[in-house]
Amino acid sequence: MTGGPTFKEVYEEQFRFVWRSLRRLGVRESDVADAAQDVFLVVHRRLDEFEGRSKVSTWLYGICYRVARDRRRLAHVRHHVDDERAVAERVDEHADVAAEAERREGFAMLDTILDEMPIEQRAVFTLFELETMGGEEIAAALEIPLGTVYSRLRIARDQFRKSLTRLQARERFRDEARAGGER
Amino acid sequence: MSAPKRWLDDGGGATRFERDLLRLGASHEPPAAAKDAVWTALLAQIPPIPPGSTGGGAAPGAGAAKAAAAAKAAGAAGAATNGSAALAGAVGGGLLKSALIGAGSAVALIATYAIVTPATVSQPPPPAPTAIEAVGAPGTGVRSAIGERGAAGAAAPVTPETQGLPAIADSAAPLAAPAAATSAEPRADGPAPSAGRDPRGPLGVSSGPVGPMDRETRLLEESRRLTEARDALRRGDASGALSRLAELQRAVPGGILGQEREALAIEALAKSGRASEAQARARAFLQAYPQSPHATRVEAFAR
Repeated sequence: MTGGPTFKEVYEEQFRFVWRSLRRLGVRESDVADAAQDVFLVVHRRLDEFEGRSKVSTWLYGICYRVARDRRRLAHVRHHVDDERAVAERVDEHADVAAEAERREGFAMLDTILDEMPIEQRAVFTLFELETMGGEEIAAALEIPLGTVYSRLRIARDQFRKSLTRLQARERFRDEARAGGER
Repeated sequence: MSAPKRWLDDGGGATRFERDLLRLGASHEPPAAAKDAVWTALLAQIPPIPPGSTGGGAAPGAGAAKAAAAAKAAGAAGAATNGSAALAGAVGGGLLKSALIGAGSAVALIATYAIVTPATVSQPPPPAPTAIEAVGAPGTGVRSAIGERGAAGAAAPVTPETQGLPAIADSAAPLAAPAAATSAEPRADGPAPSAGRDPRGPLGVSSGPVGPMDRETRLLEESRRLTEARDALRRGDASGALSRLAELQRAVPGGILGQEREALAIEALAKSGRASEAQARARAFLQAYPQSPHATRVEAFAR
């Protein structure tokens, strides 16, 4: 291997990117170490084929995308959210970790919203809004035309708002029901 | 085609709550120990030597040899040339795959590593390899952008590792006693005959000096069975997980991964609706291992 980055270099520089990409593609916190391992095993096998035609990050994202999609097909996804919620609620009783619990609630909410998107939209949305990647780069990472990137982004944003509105309505309802019960 | 503005940018058109939520999402970083843990696990699975000079082969024996080289390359422990350190690498790979009890597993892996190495090799435990990363994580800047909460989150994963390590190493030997005492499983009173899987003899050695090969065998066996139990639990088969864990306890009563087994059992009990048993064992667990990397998780079941 000459010229290109070594496996160790790629790992050092890109681990955090791979981790958060997997999380944002819907891999649970409890599974993400396994998934990251899978990604880097592919990287190790195929690093010689990577010829610098694209940025390392876009190449890696393609691998993350496939790993996340395959895991999603295995499907044991939903109940984990409930697990994490349950733990967060229990932890809430500790005053000193209440803030952390609230933060986890926020993550759980975001997860729930993103989980309702098809992975194609989710990828575009999270790359654009969270990773702040440019349109062309996203197009390269997902191997789709730029126009498709923007149309998916539009649809994903609509979906995001719809899910969020519904979640907030549900939570309001729950709060009111609770308040009513206490009276 | 003009690019739309990002929601996080000014004038991006998102509501304040949407922006808060996205900012939180953008701040998500891996726990401090994750990078080293995944690397160690990776090295156990890939040959660090240039391709072509090894024949490959994923047989357990070959795996151990690979892991030996891998552990050395990682420099994760100063005693990597020792067979048991290599084993820790191999088991680490399996453990990571098994992601024993959820988000804490990366930390657990490091802790497990520490349990094995100092106990068999008479050397001081290596400095926590992830300390530097924890301090210098570039994500801290982003985190602070979302306020104090972020800081609390960033600090959390570091604590069990930095504080827990010495305690874990110290408690490696007496693991058997509290686990057996708190167990509600039948037939936990003595080692059962080996299931014939291991030609070297019964696995149920809970005290006395243990040869390195016995230790390796036990570790691999424990790791394999824990993975099975954990997979069952993740499939939603809590009773299957419980019976596997009970079997494991019979086969390897004073397990090196005793804490992991017990923590997983507590979770499985809770999931199969046996809340009061889960609670009792969670409390016993916390009393026995207050510094355990699994303590936070187990605490949730102790109430």
